[in-house]
Amino acid sequence: MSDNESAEQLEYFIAHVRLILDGTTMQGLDVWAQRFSELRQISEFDLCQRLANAIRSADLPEHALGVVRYGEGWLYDRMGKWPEAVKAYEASLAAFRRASIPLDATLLMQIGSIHQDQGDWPKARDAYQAAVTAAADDPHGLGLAHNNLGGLALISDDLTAAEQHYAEARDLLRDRDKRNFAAATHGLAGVHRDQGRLQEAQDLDVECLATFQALADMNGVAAAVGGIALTHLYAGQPQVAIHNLEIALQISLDGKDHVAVNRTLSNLAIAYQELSEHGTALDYLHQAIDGYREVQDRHGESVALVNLARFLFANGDTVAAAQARDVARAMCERYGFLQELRRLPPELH
Amino acid sequence: MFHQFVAAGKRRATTIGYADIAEIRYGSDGRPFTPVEILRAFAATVEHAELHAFRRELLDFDIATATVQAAGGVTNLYGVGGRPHPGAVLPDAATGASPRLRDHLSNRFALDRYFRQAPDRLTATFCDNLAAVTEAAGVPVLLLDTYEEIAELDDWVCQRLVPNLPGETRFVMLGRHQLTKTNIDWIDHQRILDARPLPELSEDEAKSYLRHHGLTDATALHAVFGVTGGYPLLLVLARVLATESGGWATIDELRHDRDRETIARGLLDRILREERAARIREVLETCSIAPWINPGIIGVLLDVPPSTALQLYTELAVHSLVSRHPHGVVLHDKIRELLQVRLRYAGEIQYKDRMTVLANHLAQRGGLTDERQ
Repeated sequence: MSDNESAEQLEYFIAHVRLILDGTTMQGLDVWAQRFSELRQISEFDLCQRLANAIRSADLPEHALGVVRYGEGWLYDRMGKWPEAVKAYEASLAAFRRASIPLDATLLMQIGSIHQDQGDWPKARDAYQAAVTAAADDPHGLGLAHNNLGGLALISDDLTAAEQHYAEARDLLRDRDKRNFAAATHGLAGVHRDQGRLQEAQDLDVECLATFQALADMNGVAAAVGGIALTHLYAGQPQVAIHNLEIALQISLDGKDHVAVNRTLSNLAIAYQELSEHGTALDYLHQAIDGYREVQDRHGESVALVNLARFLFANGDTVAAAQARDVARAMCERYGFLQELRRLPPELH
Repeated sequence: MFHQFVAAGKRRATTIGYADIAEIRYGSDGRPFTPVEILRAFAATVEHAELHAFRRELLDFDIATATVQAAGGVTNLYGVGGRPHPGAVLPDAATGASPRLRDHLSNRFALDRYFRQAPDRLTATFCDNLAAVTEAAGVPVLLLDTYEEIAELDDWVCQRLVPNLPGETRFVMLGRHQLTKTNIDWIDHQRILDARPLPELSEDEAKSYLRHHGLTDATALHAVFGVTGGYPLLLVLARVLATESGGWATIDELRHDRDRETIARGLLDRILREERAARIREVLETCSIAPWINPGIIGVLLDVPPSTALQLYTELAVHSLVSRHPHGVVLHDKIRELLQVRLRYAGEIQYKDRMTVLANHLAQRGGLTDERQ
């Protein structure tokens, strides 16, 4: 179907939904949500935005408003428009509360996840803890909250806490939610990798890759392939890592997931540096830094800036390395990522 | 109304930028419906050198877009690592591309970012330049017409354009719907928003409108104004009736009615009684439930074969009550309402039945399978 045909089909669909939308029931909203979900799976974000806009101007009851604003939040989150995403999620949370629908845990986790992506870890932790409290009687919600807490602990280098949270998440999600069980498994693989248990990490990532493939979740597939690549990198096999990272990159590009693209570019830089292909490594790293700046991922940018100083120093460009260190230090100190500075070579401390 | 604003502004030497959303959205030049096109329309009407930086960036944007289009997509220009394919045709300085754009074009990831950021960057530059216009030539006015067609770009207007406009700028949006009904986020701008329903046209304005449509006799002008009271919908219906009946005399029959709804219904009754409308009256009434009308919709709602539907559509398309729409023709919202009242009055069961038929047709054309409708 051409772009014009897709657009025309969507207009007919919107007209259909508007015609049948009922101010008091889910009529119309269910087909809307299904189409929104189909379009977001194939990364048709522009069409998703058109759908969201078409319905929110209708006279919606609170529960429907909650659904629509949630959809918008998800959309902006994926597009890297994080302030807009938080705003939409908060509006969704308020609407669900007014409708007495207990979705606090889900929404708090989404909001926390955006804070985490922006590098505001204290806010992310607060949101996740609030989600744990809200999901006290909901094993599935609790599993999701532990999964997110695991991610935050992993990125903060607290491997013990990360392992505990992921183990808890896997227990709670195993028979309830295949997709998020796989996500928790991928997180646990990351913990094992950082602990040096490379074979276990690889086995877990291969396991969750199969699950994501079975679910046709391409974002998950890209994440799992990226995890496998990182394990190869840790095992001293940069060529294999690059091969897998390029696969992950292509999937993320096809899925218009530029937040994942940034991470992959950053890892490609490390792999090429390992191969002593310094020009290519710096090329990738600069693209990653600009990408992190675009979405205001402060932690990603801090890590990449520290890497820049390390690469330049290793390449013998000590003057540029010192300049890069100053920029990295300012960034890490400003946003509280002092642990990243420990990765600088002693000569640059 | 929109053109009156513009003309009045120009008479007072006020700097005015204007854009018609419907024209941009449904225009025949094939341009996409994006924030950049709205800014382009504004810039085309603000004739000040202070917009130089914006125009420069817009040129870059056009060059970048044309480069990707000529290649048949970004993947034909770059390899997976983001570097240009050998032989990829990228613009050089001679094409007018700025050094900054050439830098963006040297890497796929940089170009992706460039396109993602272009609407925000062009908005920021446009607003910066507008501040310079204010200093040089006084407070500018921006007009956006047919705002009811803004759809998904409302977020951009609400969250990007309005917050970036220089504080003094007057920004006028003309549309049929309340902003906060379109998008609740407009509440954020409550302090600076001044919503005003459009008043009736003054006697002079109404008569000028009628004269424009061929009514020159002073007595008749006075009589038609007396019936319509300058209310835009009534003026439009009076004009349609005059076109369809070949004169303005029939309008005077309504001079004793006071209520606008009654007058509107009376005018519509007379329009539908005219010979030319008689053949398509059923189409107008039945299809008034549809958001737009085309042969497909006529076919299913009137249950007639495609050739008959096409014939009826051809007649309908030249009637003064309808205007063009990308999917066929469309009736004014208020006229649709009046026609739907007639349809329901004629038979509630048949009305509901036609609504179901329409919903099914829209669902099928909208890609919904039977079990999901």
